[in-house]
Amino acid sequence: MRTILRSISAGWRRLWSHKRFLFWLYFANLALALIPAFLVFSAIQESVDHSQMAEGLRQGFSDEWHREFRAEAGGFAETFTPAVTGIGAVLDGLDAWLSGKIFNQYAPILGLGVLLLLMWTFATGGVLNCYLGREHREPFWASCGRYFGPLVRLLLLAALFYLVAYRLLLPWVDQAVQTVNRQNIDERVAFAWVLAKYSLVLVYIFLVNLLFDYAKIVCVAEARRSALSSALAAVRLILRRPIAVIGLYAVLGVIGVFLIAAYALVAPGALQDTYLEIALAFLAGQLFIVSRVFMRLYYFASQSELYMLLAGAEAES
Amino acid sequence: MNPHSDHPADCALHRRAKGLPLPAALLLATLTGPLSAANYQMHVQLDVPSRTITGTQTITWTNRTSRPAGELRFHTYYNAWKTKNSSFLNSNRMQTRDFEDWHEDEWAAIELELLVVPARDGSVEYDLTTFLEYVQPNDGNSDDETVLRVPLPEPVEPGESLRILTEFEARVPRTFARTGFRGDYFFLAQWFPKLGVLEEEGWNCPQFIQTEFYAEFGDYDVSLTVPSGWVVGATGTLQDREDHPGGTTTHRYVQQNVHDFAWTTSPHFSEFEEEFTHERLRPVRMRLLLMNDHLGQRDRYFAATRAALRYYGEWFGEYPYDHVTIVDPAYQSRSGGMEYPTLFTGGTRWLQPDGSGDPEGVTIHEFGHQIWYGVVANDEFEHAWLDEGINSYATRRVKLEVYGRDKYVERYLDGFIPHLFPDIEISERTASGLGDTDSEFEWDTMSTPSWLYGPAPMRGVEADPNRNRVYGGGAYGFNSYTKPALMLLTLERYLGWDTFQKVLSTYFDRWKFRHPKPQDFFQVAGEVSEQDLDWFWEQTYHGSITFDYAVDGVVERGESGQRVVLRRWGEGLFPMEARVEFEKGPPVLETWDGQSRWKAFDYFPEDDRVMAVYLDPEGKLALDVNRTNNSWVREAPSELAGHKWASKWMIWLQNMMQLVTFFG
Repeated sequence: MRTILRSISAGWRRLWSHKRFLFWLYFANLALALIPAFLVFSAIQESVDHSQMAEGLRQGFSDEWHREFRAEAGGFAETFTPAVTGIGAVLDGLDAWLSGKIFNQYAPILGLGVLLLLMWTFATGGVLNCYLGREHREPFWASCGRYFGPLVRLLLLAALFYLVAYRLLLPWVDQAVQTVNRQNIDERVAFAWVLAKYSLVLVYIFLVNLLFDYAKIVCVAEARRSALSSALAAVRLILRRPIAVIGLYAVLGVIGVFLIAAYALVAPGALQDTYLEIALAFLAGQLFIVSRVFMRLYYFASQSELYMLLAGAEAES
Repeated sequence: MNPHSDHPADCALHRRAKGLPLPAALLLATLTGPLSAANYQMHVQLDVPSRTITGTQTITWTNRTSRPAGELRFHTYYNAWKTKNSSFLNSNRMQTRDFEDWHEDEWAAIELELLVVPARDGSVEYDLTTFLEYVQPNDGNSDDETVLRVPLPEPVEPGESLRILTEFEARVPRTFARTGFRGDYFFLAQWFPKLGVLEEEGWNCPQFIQTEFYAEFGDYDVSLTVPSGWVVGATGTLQDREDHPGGTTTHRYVQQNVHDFAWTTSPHFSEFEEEFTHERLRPVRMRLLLMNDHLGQRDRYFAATRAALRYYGEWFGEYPYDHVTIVDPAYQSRSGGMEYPTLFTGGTRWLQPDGSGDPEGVTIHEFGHQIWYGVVANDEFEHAWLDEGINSYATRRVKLEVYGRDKYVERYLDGFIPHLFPDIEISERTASGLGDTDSEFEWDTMSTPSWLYGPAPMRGVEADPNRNRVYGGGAYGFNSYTKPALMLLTLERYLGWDTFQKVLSTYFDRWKFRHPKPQDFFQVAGEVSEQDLDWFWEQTYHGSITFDYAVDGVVERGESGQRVVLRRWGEGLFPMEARVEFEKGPPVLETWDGQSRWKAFDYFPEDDRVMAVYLDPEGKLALDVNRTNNSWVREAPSELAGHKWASKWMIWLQNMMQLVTFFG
């Protein structure tokens, strides 16, 4: 536990000593979302134009308008639903992520996500280089470029594992749960099985995620070019100190869940009717997105610290 | 019985082949039949392990036409799930349904093992079992065995009654079309051999192609034998209960003047009873059978039933029975949201937030069917809208009166976890089944017989290209529920609530227990409103056109003043009103007969200007497919609205993109 706390605490310091990463990666997210958001804005504005429905949308939401809008909307605008309101935006995303529906999103949205993923992959080399305390050896941008290739290969390798999760494991478990529930007439029992199904899938996904987090760290820390060797080294690392590695992952996960719960408490609904209120609601949402970026970096920083602790201990022994 | 005979008259027996003891009195044909046209006395036993119902029936049927009847026709509904080639399983509505995981013993079948009728003079009885013949009056599909023809040895004269005795066995399906089993929950509808309706034109006994029904009124006396300890709910009231050695119990239910009999049984039901009382309406005992995972929703079921009893009773017609049974269907039993005489199924989820619409909506709706389907009892097979449409309209009105608008709900984790958005209300035009309108008007006309409604995409169901199944039952749903409900809502707002309420209550009073047709409803509407409404029915009932009126714009013409231009984009014609508001002066209410393609109004205020135009400001034309274009507001906050909702969408997008980075 002490190792975990030390990693978290040192990770926190690392994170804040390189807080520019947080802003860069947040702004990358923001920048990618701006143009689609403008297109949706234009579609909504054009749809309501001089209609009194505009007043309805200002005061709250108009389901009647939305049904008409949805029938004619195209492009990004066709993905607009009232489910984007407040915590709904987060729940919708989490549900899509967990169930694999995220890969069935409107293609340009998935494309933007992949683009952001590549931007992250590019930045990860530089970020980890700094978190590992090696920025004096190699400047940020240089390490971004240097490790981009190996990290993309790791990304592709990880994709295979995620493919197994969503295309094999989840459908298989889903079928099993359906079979078990075939004669069940109590929804609570069915829900327990569904929880079990997603728990199993989550455990798998988290283990893969954990493995490839350390594979990335190993890749940068040990300047490995091979994705496979990085992954195998990460496996060995995890197997040597599974409690510390998984414990750290879990503690950070709890912090992430706490942040989502906190946003759920303050997430604005549909009733903002002035620009100030709209701006404040937007700000709250952006803070949540910042917290998402923050948590990802916090994982990198803390896991890098843990890697260094474990590597140091190994060297001493 | 002469096995070589090809005429039923040659098979007269002094003793029936199967030797079933049958009192001679039971077989006596009577010339003075009961008021009801088809009375059923049944003794049935449910064998749970084999999921089989075996039973005997004594049917007393009266020919109420002016012509002799040379044959009988029975519905054998369960054969709709005997083969994949049945007409029902090949209907448009079933194209999205998959049967791959069905086990062999989960398909259904019903077989008449014996059918006996007496001679007119009672001297002999005829075993007609070998003369039974499946016929396909609707589509000629020889694989369909849902209508059984029974040639009679002697015709039944007008006014004459005939007693028929049958023995039958039905294998219960894995729940389909709201009948069947799941685990040890059984919901049994359309489960017994049931006579069609003899009309002047002949037998009206359609194949089972859709889940809309039509039958004669009659008295039912049904003894149901099930495992002891299992709770039973059924049409009618419990007369007595008798335990038998071997662990079975017989429950006897009796009900007069209904046209069907459904029942349910399971060891998992909890029973509750409450009383509905009202200063003008008859008291009704409400019996609720609730599944364990919904025990917390007991009060919501009762409150909704009470509201429905009250408002349907006050507005449309009094529920004529003194009891009603509400069945909360088992999880995934596919038996929810259906009506049967004096019994209906609701439907809810384990987690179902207040304000989400159910179980209140489905309870009110299914109770409402007691009035239209149950009592008025039109031929739903041909004119489903006359029940479903009127009831969807009525449900909406009661629901808004009692509960207001539903809140928007999203469900996550395979639909188990609901999240209610308290700030977002569902459109009142869409409450309780008044759904999307888009271009669905053009799919078919309402006047098409319901079972022939054309194929159309099923809302919310993705086509599976691998199975080449593109169509669902969209045109049926739209023309049976949505469009008629919007049509009636439009008529309510056109005639005024007081008049329209009187239209419906008169229709109920005049046609209860009489099987009306659409023309009868139109006649009542015209008579009560004292208006010729043919122009309305011609467009809405007979036509497949859309209504869309719009404010095209306000044109500034300098010294020539301002011109407000109204448009008719749709083909439908409806009288319009437009409220024009000015910056300084009082508003003006303009009228337009709505016949031309456009209409302009010119204004010449010296120092004033038009600030807003609201076309159809009271929303009378609920059939209008686009309400967004019904107004023009000079300073509409469209930019603010766009910023507000695009910014929310943007957060959704950012979160979604960020989730993708998890995989990196």
